[in-house]
Amino acid sequence: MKEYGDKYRLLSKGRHYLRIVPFVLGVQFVLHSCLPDPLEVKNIPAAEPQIVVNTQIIPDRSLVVFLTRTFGALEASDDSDPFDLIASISVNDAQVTIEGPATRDTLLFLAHGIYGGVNIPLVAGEEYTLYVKSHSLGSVKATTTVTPQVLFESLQLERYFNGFDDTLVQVSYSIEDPALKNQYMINVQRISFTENVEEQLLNPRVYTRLIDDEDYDGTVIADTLRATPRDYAAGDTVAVFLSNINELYYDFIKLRLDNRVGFVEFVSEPVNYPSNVEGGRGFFNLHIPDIRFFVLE
Amino acid sequence: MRRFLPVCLIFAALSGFAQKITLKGHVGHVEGEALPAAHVIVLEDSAVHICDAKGNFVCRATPGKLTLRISFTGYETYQTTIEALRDTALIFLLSPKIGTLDEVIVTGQRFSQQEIFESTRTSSTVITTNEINAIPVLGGEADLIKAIQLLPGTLQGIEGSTDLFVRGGAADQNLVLLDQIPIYNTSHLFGFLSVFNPDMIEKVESINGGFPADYGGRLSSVLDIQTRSGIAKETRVSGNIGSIATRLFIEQPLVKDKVGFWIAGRRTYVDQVMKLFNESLPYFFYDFNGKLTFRASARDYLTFSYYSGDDFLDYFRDRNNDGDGITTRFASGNDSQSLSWKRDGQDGWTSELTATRTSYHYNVDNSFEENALFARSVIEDYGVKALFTRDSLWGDSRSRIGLDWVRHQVSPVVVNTAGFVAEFLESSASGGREADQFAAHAQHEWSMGPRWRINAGIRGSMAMVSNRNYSFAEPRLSLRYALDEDASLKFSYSRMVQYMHRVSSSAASMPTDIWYPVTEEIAPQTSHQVAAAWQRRIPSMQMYLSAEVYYKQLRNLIGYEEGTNLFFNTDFESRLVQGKGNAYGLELLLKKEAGALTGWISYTLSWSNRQFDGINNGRWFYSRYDRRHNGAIVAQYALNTRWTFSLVWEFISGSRFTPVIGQYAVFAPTTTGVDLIPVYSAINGVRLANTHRLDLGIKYKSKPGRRYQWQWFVGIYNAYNRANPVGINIHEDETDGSLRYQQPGLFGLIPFISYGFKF
Repeated sequence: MKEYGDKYRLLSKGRHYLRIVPFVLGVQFVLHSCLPDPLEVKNIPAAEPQIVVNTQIIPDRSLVVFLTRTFGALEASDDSDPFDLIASISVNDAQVTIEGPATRDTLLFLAHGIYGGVNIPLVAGEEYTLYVKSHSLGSVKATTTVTPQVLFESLQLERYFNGFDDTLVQVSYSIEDPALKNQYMINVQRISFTENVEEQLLNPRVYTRLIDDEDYDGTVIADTLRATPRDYAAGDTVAVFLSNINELYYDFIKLRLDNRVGFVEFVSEPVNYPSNVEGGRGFFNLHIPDIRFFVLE
Repeated sequence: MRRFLPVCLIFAALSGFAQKITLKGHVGHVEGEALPAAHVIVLEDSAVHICDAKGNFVCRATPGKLTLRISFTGYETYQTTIEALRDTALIFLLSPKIGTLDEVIVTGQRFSQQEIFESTRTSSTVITTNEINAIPVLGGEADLIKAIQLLPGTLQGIEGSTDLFVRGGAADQNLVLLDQIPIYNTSHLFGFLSVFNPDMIEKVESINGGFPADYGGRLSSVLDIQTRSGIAKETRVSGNIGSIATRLFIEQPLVKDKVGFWIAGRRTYVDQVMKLFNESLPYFFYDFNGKLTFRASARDYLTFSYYSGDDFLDYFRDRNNDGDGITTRFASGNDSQSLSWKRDGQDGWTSELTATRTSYHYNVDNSFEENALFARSVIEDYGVKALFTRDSLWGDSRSRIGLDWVRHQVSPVVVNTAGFVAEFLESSASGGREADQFAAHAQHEWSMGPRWRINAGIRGSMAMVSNRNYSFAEPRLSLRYALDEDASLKFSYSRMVQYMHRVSSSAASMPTDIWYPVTEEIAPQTSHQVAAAWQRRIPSMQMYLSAEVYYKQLRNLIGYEEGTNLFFNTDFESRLVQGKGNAYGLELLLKKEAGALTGWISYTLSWSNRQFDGINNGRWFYSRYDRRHNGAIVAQYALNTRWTFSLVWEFISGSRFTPVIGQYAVFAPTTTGVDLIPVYSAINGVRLANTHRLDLGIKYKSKPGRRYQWQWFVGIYNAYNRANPVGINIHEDETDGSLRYQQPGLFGLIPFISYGFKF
């Protein structure tokens, strides 16, 4: 009996020691989670204030120029109110002129950094220079060439269920590719005029596909893509854009796409994005997108 | 009863009378094998002289009747009296003690700065296994790389990582040799632990400059790790159970004094423990090292070394319990072998012929529904080295010549993606690469008078790639001027060439980084380095001091255009740029190896700069790890034979970082809104906060003299829980939504505990 009792006590001790193991591991995990508080940062240089240029042709002879300034990294985030942000960074004291082969036009200030001009002849293949003079931020200029508008030869949209939890939109398209070297940008965006309007103004969720015609033989580019990430439902309004863009803007968008996802925050390489604005940032673009709207069935 | 001790004495007059005479000689085993670090004591002068790795010694003594005592652990001590009026050469051959636990491995643990001090070499440090095991480290797992990072001139990258940044070099500029086998990936646990099991290490030499001509292939450093050598006299077993991993070491003779082997294994065990509680931790790593030694004759040694180690991550999560789920599998590892034949020729030449094979691979399998990421890469090298060494009888000159050949084979790197993943990462594959690398080298070291010693060498190297050959001459020079017996001045010059580079971020290496050889477009990286040092030893305290300055110039450095995403990028070549750099600094080291208090204090003041035409608008900028001050206090205090306290305090100036300092708005591509684009500071334009950390450890051992020895080692990493920054990010306050910069750290206070044993 005594022997049995001793064994029993040994077994109990063994179980007792076994219970210590998860406790020790648990303590270690708890202590591992005692991460120290991050340290303050005191010596960050301020970004030099610069004019930022954005432009868009409104067919057929109108041009909109949107001028803002660079601002601090701590002034706004993705969650900021877009209207407040635009109001705070817009440049409203500039004189904006555009000079082409035969004309020079001064744009009118409209509101919140937006300058517009009507009846400006923008001829495909011609070079134009934009001049901006701001009393507070100095002068910048940018030069670009109007790229010819290219239209979808065919375009079809349908919902695509991937067999799991997601319903994507599948876009089948074809483009007649003109001679010479061209770069294209296709964008797909779900448009809502009633829901989450503000969300769509700041970092809108746009699917972008870049195409370089060097990758294709022949004169027709045809392909199918599935726009991600978004769950599409019947009744959704989807806009599809096709733009014939210049090479520098193509590089800019490609850089943006390559750096969408920071796999490891602190080991990613920093990026200085290209710009064709001398002395400033942004892009002076003169391309006219082909825009088609669909309502998904 | 003492055995008869065969002793051979050779007297030769080497020079005329002087106030002091020179005794030079050799201490070896009765069958001829050298006894490194044997002690030669001249009783009249109360001077202890320690033999070098070849068993040679040189000392100065007062002429006349001299009593010499020669000792070596495990061998019978010999004492003799000689009448020496002139410079004299002596050879002593000792016999082993019978029935003594012959701590042959003690020779490995007795390596010290002595050999470095007496050589012409600058910029070199020897680390012992005791020092590696004594340092309290992250997770309590003794780590060779972590010990090296505490030496002057050597920086760690991100906290806890095993990257080495030596004298302004990049992390891929360090040649890590394990028994002469290059090891490509030196880390486990995604960079936080090295692949080197401390139980198998005999000697580690860290060379940051003044490279002898037999080393080449990397610009910044050579980490020469030698595993345990010799044939054990009896079975020995040791092991360790720690917070992270468990180790076991077994050494076994097969034929007495002829054939023996040892094996060492290490594995994490937490995943197995979690299984007991029906939980899953899908990660583990293991190492396996082994060595077979065959003493074919008194002059011939054959050894076969093997290393294999892998990291595995195998994770499956079934969200909906329908058999479809998220699968993540990752495996990476090294696999290497070497076969070496050493022969002591009768004509005084020692030859060593070594064949090596090393490989590194990784596999990534990620899939979720229709989304997938698969990636594969393998690099494999085959090589042969021949080395011939001749020491003069009196140890005052040495010649070494050799030939090396390596074939590098990089398999095609394949990246396959599908689904949503393909939108971010296109499928791609790089072509496989092959490159042959050759080198021939010769060096001669000799004394010019009693004070000067010179080592002059030349290494000719060549790489053959598909349509291009590169060849370089790499001169090497090192000088030593003896101020007196215990102090010297040294100078060195090295030209180095590197034909392989690793495609990785400048901030930290990842297990998915790949090595590539030079190509027709990518030229080899080169460097010139000069160093000057003052060194002093204090034999009575076994202390060693060194002050050294260096300047290094680097050319054809590898960099990437801004915005290049290297993650699984097989098209990196089109984005690669080559530039230049320089680095210079001052390094101080005070090391104490005897007594109750041992350890070292190191300090480095350094600068490191870069310039690339495609980066930072072509302007010079500080390198990422330009860390101005770097200091460490490493101390171990033996209270008695059972209790030992250890401490590491490390201070490093903050590394450089490129934070986001501004933003601007551009039209989204659809012009339906605006995107916010970050504006970065100048490259590496901001310095992070300084890093400093205190690690403490206590070791409690069993009573000495017992067959079964054990020890407990407990301690704390980062005892005062300081954040040691890895970068700068922007944090949004949850209460008011305000934004502020912050510098987060990776590791806080982490305790560790381990139990070790040997018998």
